[in-house]
Amino acid sequence: MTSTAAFGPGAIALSVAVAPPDEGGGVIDVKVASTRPVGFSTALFVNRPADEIPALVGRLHALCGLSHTAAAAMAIAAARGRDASAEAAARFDGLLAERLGEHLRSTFLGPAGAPPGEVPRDMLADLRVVLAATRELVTAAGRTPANEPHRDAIERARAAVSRLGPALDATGALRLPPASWAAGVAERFGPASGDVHLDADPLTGADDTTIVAALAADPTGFAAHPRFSGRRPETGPLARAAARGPIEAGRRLDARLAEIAAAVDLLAAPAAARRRALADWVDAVAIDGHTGCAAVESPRGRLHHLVRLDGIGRVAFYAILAPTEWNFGPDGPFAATIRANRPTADEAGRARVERIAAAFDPCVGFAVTVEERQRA
Amino acid sequence: MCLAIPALVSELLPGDMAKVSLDGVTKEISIAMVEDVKPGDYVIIHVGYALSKIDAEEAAKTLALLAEAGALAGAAE
Repeated sequence: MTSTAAFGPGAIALSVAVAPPDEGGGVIDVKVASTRPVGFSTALFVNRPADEIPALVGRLHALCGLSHTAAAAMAIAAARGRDASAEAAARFDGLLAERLGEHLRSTFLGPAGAPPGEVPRDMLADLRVVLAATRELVTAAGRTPANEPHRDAIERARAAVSRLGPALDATGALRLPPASWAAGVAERFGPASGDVHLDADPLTGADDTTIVAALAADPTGFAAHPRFSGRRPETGPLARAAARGPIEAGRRLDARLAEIAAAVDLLAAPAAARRRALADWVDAVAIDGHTGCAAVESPRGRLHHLVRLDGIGRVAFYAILAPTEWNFGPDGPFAATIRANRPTADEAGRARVERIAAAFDPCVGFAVTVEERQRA
Repeated sequence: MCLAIPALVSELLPGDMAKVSLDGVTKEISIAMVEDVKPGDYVIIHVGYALSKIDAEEAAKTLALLAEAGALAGAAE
């Protein structure tokens, strides 16, 4: 019998050590221990024909598979000296749908939402409608001639999102109808939670040159532990919003809800509007005559793929840098945010850490422990 | 990154739950997010929830890839 055990989905263990109350409390240490598989892409993709990779990488990822497929197709096109933007354009409706579905599902699950058994049936039904529609759009991405939108699926998703609440007004500001599902989420994660959030240092396309150079120099090491000297970059919805203009750091969930509304609006928008938006989502660059790198603004943040081809079009090397590596690095924005809070070693403290982790939305499951420790 | 490991649905349970077999291990998961799941289906799982159904052919291809990756990792150790 074959086994997949060497490549399980992985998880993140978030361990917080706090000082006891008689020592004033406060965070002593934050540890982020990951069992996520790293480097499997190199092991699996090397020596395969490059044309096989976009489909393979999409199939292997439970989350954001289309973002991975698009990044792979763009990186390979760049490595071949071809126009990579066509690869993204052909899949853009699917990328929009993927962002919509991933954000909605991750917000329903875990601390951001409630167990399915406790979610009102009408809201759960709306969630299912959106997820079914987005799966349809993601599956069709890149296959439908001229990226012909699936109007019926888009309208079903749009109607269900409207009932769930998140919407943008004419100025682009988030609007949440009172008593809607989205208003409840924003309330749980808003200022009333008492959570402290730090301003985001957004990872943007302007950082790609540095990232590409670091990935090219040390693909495996940088993909596993990305860092910039003197910075703590964050990627994802809040970072994207912060890159566009001022936003309160405590509005991390609001930024995600706004992206849900924006994605469904863009899906229904004229093709010209979608083409304009695409420029902010993707980029690709040829590093030399046989190496390419691509970036895609996946739901959880900026995703990078690097590929080096051999002389006959097979993969000589492959590296994937996932957004969770930035946000959940040992000294990344999540760890810094926990240090800025004062969780206690009880159920309320554990719930606070869990809520903050859910707001950062890692791409794998996570487990939280908060324990007291004497200061050294 | 979360790898998409197909799991075979063996039994439906009350409350939108199901038993699945994953690499020889039986687990209970929620199928609340996916419609029309039945025994014999393959589903992709994330943090205890079925995300989507995939057909048996796709599941076999993915499991073969993951087995290959596991074998490569084992050979490298």
